[in-house]
Amino acid sequence: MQTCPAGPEQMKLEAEMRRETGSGAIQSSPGLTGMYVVAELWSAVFARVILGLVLIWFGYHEATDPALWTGYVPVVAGASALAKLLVSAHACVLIVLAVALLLGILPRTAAALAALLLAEIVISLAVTGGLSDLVARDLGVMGLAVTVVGLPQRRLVLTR
Amino acid sequence: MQLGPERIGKAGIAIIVFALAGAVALSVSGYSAKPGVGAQLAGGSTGSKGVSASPRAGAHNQDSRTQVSQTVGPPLASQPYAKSAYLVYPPPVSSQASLALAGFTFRVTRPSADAMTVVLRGPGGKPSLDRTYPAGDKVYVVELASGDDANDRDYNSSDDGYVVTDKTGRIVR
Repeated sequence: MQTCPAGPEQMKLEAEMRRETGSGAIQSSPGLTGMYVVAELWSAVFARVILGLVLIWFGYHEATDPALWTGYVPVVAGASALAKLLVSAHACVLIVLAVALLLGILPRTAAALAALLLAEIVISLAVTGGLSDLVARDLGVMGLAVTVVGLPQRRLVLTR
Repeated sequence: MQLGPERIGKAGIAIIVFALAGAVALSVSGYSAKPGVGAQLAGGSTGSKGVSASPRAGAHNQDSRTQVSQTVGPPLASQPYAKSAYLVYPPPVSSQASLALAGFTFRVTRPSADAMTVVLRGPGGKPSLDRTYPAGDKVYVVELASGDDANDRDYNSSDDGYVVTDKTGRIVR
């Protein structure tokens, strides 16, 4: 895994923060400014990895025990084999998207697909049960996915 | 290969293919595995042992002078879902039990001093219970994942069920 060459803006930011001490280590400015600088440099990676972890958690549990999740399948009867099959297929998609996000393979594309999946889930839950903690939670995750789509990913991504 | 502003190389494609194969293998394994805890519940689709299945037809006892008989199985405490079973009758009902009851219709009546009739209906009609038990029995609602309960509603009844035990804590068949 390689780090893509940083864009001009990032290079300028790093140059501003770099104080040569012989070891060449970057020293951040004291206080909040330093924290914001670190956030600017690593927030894209953090958001992508967190989203990937959330997806792989749900994907793994759906894959290993699909019967427990059939109640979330809209329209289809919960006890049917079709519902289990749909849950298993959903799990496969989640796991592949999670791997793509965690390893930085087409991360923005993967995040866009994840956002679409989550939008479907949010709409389905809202239509069947109205606004609830569940809807709010999934809306938050969808927001995270949309954010990852918009953030250029330059660190810790797989390149050709 | 270029996909919009992003690129993917052979290594990336290979990893995605392996991830997909792994996910499919895991899903096939999970799909065809023997019924887990979820399927052992009354709301599940299998009739595995150890837990009260859907109520027998005609089990409702209308004669209050007849002693209700029942067969019992293993202790509830020995079951894998024991920690997810919440006592809902007799009271008091804990806050966790109240949350587990989200989306359920639950009613207990006493046709006689020795018997109690339990009616319990889950979201969408499953799980379903309408049966008479000896007065000392206890009713538990099983909720494997409380994260799907909100606004006094259960969004996923596949992980819900019920268990009735006798006075000694053994599951009533």
